[in-house]
Amino acid sequence: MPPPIKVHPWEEASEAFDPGYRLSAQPTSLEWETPGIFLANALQTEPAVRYVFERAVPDGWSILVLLSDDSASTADKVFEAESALYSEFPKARIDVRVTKIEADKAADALAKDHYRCHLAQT
Amino acid sequence: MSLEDARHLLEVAAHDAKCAAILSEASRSHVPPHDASDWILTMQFYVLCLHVRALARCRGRAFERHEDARLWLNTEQELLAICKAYRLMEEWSRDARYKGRRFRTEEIAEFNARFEKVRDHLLPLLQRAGIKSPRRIAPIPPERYPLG
Repeated sequence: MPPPIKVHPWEEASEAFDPGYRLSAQPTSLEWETPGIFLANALQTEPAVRYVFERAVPDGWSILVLLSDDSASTADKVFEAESALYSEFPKARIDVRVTKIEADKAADALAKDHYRCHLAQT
Repeated sequence: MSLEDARHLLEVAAHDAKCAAILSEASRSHVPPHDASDWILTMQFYVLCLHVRALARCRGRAFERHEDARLWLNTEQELLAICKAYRLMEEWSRDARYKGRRFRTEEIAEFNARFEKVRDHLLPLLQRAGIKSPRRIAPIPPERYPLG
């Protein structure tokens, strides 16, 4: 019987470990693409999307999508992009919150609350 | 055991639907009528949330958090068709709970159309999973809301 193939413990660990972010596929820039950046890129052509904020939380990512109008048709476009997000980051724990922005001061408060802004549109 | 859990979750869903109907009647007969559309709508969202969890239990899964249910809806081929409908109801329910959002007649109508879509998609799946004749719960029509 042939001896079992040995796998270095580090290799085993690296296969199992998925940090929930990855290197951007953009050829011109070398940066980590987080779920929030992915969502911001997907939604930048949606005029009703005012902001995309993201914050790392202990077990994943918390993303806030703030809309100027949260009518059903607008929200559905965000949910479509959100579906793609789960395919792109299948192992990450992501909480996406989609809501209407009440006033711009809300965005300022989020920035102070350790959220990073990935998209801001007027 | 999973089927028993699923049946229990569906009983809770029926209870939540009854509570929503009672709240709707009470808030309409209150003097003056009190707009409780936030909690009526939220209770109805939980009716569907419990249906999703019941189906998950039938299939050997258990969700502790909304994120887990959301991920499942977004990745399970059979459930993709109701994902967007469910998500809007989930977000409106969150707005209701944490921002005190109240709903206009046309928003309630939109919510109800999505409620029926999700319900009608889930019931046959529950039946196929072994739940005999799951109850078909109707959403509360806009005219039964306090200020509808």
